[in-house]
Amino acid sequence: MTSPSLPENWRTLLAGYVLNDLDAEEVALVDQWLSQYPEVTAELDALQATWNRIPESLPIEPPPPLVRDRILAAVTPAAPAATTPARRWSWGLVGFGLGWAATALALIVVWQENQRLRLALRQTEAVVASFSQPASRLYTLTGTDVEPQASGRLVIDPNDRTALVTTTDLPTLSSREVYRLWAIADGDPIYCGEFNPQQPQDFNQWALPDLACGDVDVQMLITAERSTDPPVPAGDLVMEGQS
Amino acid sequence: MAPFSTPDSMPESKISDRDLINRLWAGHTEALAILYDRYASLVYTLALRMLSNPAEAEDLTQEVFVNFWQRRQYDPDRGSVGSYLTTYTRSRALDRLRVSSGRANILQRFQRITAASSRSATPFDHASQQEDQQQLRAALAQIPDTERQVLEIAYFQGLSQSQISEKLGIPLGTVKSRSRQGLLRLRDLLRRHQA
Repeated sequence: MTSPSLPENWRTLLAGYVLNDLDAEEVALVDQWLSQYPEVTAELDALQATWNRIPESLPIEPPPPLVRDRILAAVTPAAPAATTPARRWSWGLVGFGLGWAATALALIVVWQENQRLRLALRQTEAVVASFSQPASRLYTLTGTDVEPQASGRLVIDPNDRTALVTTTDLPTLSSREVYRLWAIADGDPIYCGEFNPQQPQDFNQWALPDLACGDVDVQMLITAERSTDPPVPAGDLVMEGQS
Repeated sequence: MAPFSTPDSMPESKISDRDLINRLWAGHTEALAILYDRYASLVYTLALRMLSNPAEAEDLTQEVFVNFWQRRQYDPDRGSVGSYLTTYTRSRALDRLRVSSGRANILQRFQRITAASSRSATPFDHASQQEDQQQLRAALAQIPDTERQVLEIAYFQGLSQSQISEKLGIPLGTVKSRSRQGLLRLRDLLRRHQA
């Protein structure tokens, strides 16, 4: 039931309130009604909900499947980049006896060196590919007091919306923790993805969750966080980026 | 991260939005995939309509869902996921369109807008979503073309009423009365459908 104190055109004014076309005096009047009459609040909510539903009238257009993949990649921690089948090889070779031990050891060393070089090559290729993008931004990463030995490089490709980070001596975190990359713009941290290196020299690449991560005037920081924590920086600052 | 599981192997379609949000906030990012499957078409359709560019619409869809997960500003007690996502998508799309005259107002109104329709969607809601859309289209078809036109321009292009007046070459007062009448008519028609 409508209060007799409300004027005849009260609903018209509410429609104007939703459409944002009232003058200051009318807005004040509606605000006053909202504090006095529950039916005004209910009607305003209904009109607002009606306005919000307008896009539902559009013929549905599903997004390409690629969009779903990109979003899930952006919110899922990066998978470990390297594999370590060395142990299987070495166990197999140990059984060949002492005579073969030296050969096996040499083979392992060669294999590991090969792996290191291949990783370095992949790393170099990925970095070179990123460098070849004229819009790419390069940051030198240096460890803070928490991880003073750590160093690395960060390449942000705003066109491909990807981040590539190479790290040296940044410790592997437990499975419940991740390193998170932040872009600081006007003091506001923007979440730019996360990773966890699996070896002393490692690289990780992922899709950027926010376009602002590729902005020119941002400072890049890396913190260590629990993987289930909300994407707000709360853990130790471990690396800083200098462009 | 703990594996994502549903109680008693509940099918995804039966999990309410609120449960999915709770799981997402608890760190189960897989819940975002289910929310995406429910709302991505709505978000993308709106983004495409407003930006008229598939690549930009894809980009905005990604931004909307990643920010939804990242910023955690959505409160299930204050409105439905669909309402929040469409409002946020519209706001971001208008930002991209650089509708400078409307921008401040839109941002200012964002909190108020998301407070409306304060009921969280249930699985039943998703089942009847198509029916609701048909009702909305039918209701929109019943209001005069002149009223529908100003409402659609205001919503999808974010133009102020004086800009609409200029664009259509009609007096500002006419734009104002058409848009208010159109919204009231639409609301009454939908109420009748729901009754």
